[in-house]
Amino acid sequence: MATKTEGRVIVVTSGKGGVGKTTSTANIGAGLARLGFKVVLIDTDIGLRNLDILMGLENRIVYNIVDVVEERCKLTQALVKDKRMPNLCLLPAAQTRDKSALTPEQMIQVVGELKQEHDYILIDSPAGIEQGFQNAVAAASEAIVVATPEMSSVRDADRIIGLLETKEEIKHYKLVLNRVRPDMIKTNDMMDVDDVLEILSIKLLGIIPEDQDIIVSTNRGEPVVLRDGDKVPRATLAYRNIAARISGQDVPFLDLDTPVHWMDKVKSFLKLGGAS
Amino acid sequence: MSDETPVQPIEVIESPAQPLPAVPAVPASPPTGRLLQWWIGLFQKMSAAPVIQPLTGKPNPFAQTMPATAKDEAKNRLQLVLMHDRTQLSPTLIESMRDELVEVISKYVEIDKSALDLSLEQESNTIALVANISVVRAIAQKPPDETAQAG
Repeated sequence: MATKTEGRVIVVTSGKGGVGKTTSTANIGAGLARLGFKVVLIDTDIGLRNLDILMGLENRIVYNIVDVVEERCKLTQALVKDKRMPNLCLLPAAQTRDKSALTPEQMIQVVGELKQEHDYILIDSPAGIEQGFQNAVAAASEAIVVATPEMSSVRDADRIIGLLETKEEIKHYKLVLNRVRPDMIKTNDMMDVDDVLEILSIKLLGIIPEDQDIIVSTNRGEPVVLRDGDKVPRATLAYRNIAARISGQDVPFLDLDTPVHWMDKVKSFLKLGGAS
Repeated sequence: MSDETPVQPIEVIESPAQPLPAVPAVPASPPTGRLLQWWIGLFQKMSAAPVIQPLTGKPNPFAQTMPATAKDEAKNRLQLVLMHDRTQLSPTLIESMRDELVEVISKYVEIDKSALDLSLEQESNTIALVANISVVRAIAQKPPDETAQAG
């Protein structure tokens, strides 16, 4: 456990939608809680909330962040306790309002209060670079940029990095590269991790392989990072490692190369040079 | 992967009367057996493989021209697009800068206006604006600054 100082405030952002911001927020948050830290997740995607679904907490929401800033309830009343871990909770977004229902100043105030009681405050940012993004970033001092190795995602991530650099409060930011497909990298059909790092000139926090188990986990409302047992999905390990790195541990990056069957090696050799 | 070249709509509009390119006659396929054809194909593919090419040191006559991989294409396109994004210079802005540059440079030297190439290039951490100008000949006159000083 960390000594009782103010909690770290980390915003999870990407620019482009659908690259895995919310999934990453849920899993990194649950991963940190799994390590024993006191964690709160904030959904700032007002009008399009989804973090509650990923956490399996959609039926437990009474109040939300807009109720808090409009003083219809106390902050502690709006926090939804996780089913599995008592040291993890969620501050949900309002579903029936829009982004203008929240201001950066209000975010700073809410987060300032949460910092006293929690080790980590993870803020899930909405897609885009408008007010929702400004709200999400306002109170943060660190950022996690989520991107996939696709052109549109990397381009938007570059734009986000440019914006983060203009924010004095953001001390540092790192990349989580999501939906990496080692099979496509091997056949030169997809940019690899180094390509993306070189283009964005950013430090790496973690690599998440494309994994069907993430969809299964979403359907069950249980973050994949919480899977247990001898044989867990690779995405579970990847998110566990990210949580450990954030907490200061030095964990090597996952080797995504799976052993290849010798027949596949022969096939890919014969295919060399062919325009398929 | 498709080997079709994308049709540029502008060209089609500008030259509607252009006849369609003649379809080359399909050469009659040699009476080689299927197995033999497979072996020839395999030989061509293997000789095109990057493992073999560096050993010979010169372009392999059997090698088919290898298309750029999707990975490289993505990387190159992305780097170009990001240079424009980061500098906030659109191709139209570069075009108008090009026109003004031609005007200024033409005061001093005679240049091939059509050959002026202006582009953004990435050099490690900085972005460079590179102009490639071919000079036809110098115009025999003093630059306006010096004449002003002399007078």
